[in-house]
Amino acid sequence: MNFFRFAAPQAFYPLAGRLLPWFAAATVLLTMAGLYVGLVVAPTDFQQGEVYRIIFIHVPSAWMAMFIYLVMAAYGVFTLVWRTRLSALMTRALAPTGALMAAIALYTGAIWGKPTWGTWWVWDARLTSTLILLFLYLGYMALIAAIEDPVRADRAGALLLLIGVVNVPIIYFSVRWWNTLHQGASVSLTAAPKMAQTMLTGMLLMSLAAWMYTITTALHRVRSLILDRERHTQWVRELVAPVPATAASSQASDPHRQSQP
Amino acid sequence: MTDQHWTFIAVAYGITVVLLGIEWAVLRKARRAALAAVRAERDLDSTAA
Repeated sequence: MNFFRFAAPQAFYPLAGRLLPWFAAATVLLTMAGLYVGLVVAPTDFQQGEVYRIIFIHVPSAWMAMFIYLVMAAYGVFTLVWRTRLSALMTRALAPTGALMAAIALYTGAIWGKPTWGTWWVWDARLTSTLILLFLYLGYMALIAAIEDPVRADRAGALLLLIGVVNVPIIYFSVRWWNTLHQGASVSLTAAPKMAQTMLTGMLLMSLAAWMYTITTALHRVRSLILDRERHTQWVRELVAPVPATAASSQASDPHRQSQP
Repeated sequence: MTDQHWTFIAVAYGITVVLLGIEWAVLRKARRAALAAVRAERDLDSTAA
């Protein structure tokens, strides 16, 4: 099977449509399981009490914010070097979710910080570099929105992504490189986890849920972007069925109703 | 103290649910707009032809 053919929007659009419900179902199931383990099964922390349960959204969103940026930067390379249409659209599709994940990581950290550290915010290396990550996401979205020619916008956005990617290792290693108020990593690939097994299970379930959510939203958004970008092409015009006469008359009173291809 | 902790937890999870809901509403709106744009352009071309 030649996977490269899915780099064409025409081939990827129906594939994304077929995959979407599966990822959406996985998101719902994993979130329910993760919330049950995190909020009901996991024990109270002996130092932090109950408030540590914020980690079940804080840590997965922080991981996803960093990972989405890396994926966007990789797509940026494809956009700049090979000029593939789908890579630029995938970058655009991931950006709002990446920004949302960075924002979730920041405000859940602040809400966790108040009862734990006694303050909502400090200009600590980890917090500051994560705030910069949010600004990079917002800057990318503002840049591509400001340039009228979509191809030029994609290339400028890709360049910004590649410049900003240096921030990701700074976020990750900030708790090792500097003496920060933010705690060190509790989970690492090279060392045993520093938390109870049920806490770890809950966090991994919620992390998987965040992955599935990100893929679901990216697939959904990229389908809209493909329709928008390729709307002059014959295949898109044939794909989107004309509104039947009876539906068209009812749509006159309800402009939001559309038949879904 | 425990009650206060659960308030912090509820606020953190509550804001997240609201934001994710807004993201999905925006996604669905963008999809409807994209479909409408394709139909509008096709109808315009067929009228011109």
